[in-house]
Amino acid sequence: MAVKALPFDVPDRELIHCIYKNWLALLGSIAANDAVATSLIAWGKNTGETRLLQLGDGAVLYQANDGRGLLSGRSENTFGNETTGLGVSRKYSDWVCRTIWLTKPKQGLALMTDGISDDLEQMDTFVPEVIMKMRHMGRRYGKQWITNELESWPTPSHSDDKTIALIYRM
Amino acid sequence: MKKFAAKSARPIPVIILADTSGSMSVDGKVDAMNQAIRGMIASFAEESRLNAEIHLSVITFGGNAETHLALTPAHQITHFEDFYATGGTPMGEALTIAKELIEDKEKISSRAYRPVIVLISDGHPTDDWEGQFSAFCSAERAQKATRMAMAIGSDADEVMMNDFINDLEAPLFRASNAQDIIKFFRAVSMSVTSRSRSTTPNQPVAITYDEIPEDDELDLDF
Repeated sequence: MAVKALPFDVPDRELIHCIYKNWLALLGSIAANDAVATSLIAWGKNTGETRLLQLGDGAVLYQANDGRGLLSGRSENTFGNETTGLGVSRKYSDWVCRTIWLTKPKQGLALMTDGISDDLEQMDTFVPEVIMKMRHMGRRYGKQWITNELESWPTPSHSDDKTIALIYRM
Repeated sequence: MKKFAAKSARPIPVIILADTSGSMSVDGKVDAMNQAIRGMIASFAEESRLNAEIHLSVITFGGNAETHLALTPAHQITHFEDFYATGGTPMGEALTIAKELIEDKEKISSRAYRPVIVLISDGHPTDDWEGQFSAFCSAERAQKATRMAMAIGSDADEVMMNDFINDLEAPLFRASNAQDIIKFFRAVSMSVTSRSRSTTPNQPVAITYDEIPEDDELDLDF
């Protein structure tokens, strides 16, 4: 079944199973462990109810009705680049799932790969400050601003993969 | 967005556990180790601006175990004090100091790559090393460190040292003279610096000790 065909209130376990099965089918002849992928997912409704799911590293930061939060930080007992993902994990317990509510202006969330999250300091103020900056920009200028920020990332010897998605209320 | 980014590179911590017991004072062993560690510091310092920043600590065990060099970015090490060989071989105590360092999230953050521990010894431990080694191997973070070792001379406890190593790419190195000690450190330097250049610095890099050139050998193609 296509993920899009699932109802919003589908249980986490069924949603994850469906995402995983679709991912494996799309791989075709590529071996799953040659295509290991961490996953960061946000699924929202216009009411503001938003489901968050994460497998592996990277981060989901949010500012919601119940305050600021981090879906799943890297455990303090791990070292850089220790992670799991689609193609490695076979356990439901490897996933972190939560539902948040984004109902007010300036609330939102950021999904980001470890190339960004591992270098972040002051994580708690990241989302509100980026939203404040972005809400005064048009979509095209906002994208350009993010691209420039990531291309001139100041951490010495920073790593490859830098992808970020922002969802926020104006 | 950039203002939230860390201003320092991700570190690869390297911890040397150096036997400085009395037996290391003969045959120029401790002098060779001092010379080799200086070479390693210079080599690491040159690499410090690439994919990762190498941080080095040296813990000695001779008479008592202590931190000889606190964990420091290699390019910031301006002075390395020679150590001297004396007393028994409290290897277990040294393992405990290393374990406490790795478990200390202030000193080695979760941004760091997997640490590398290098054990060098020419004798049998004289303290209760088994319990402390077991604690090291079961500690949440310390158990994840890559462990390499060099046994110097025929009196080294090779059974213990073979139990210590966990890097299949780097088998126990046996040194029979001072030149071998320097050769081993050069091999470890090459392995760590290869990791620091790699896009996957947590992956071990194979060490082929035989391919390490002698110090005075010229690279001539005939």
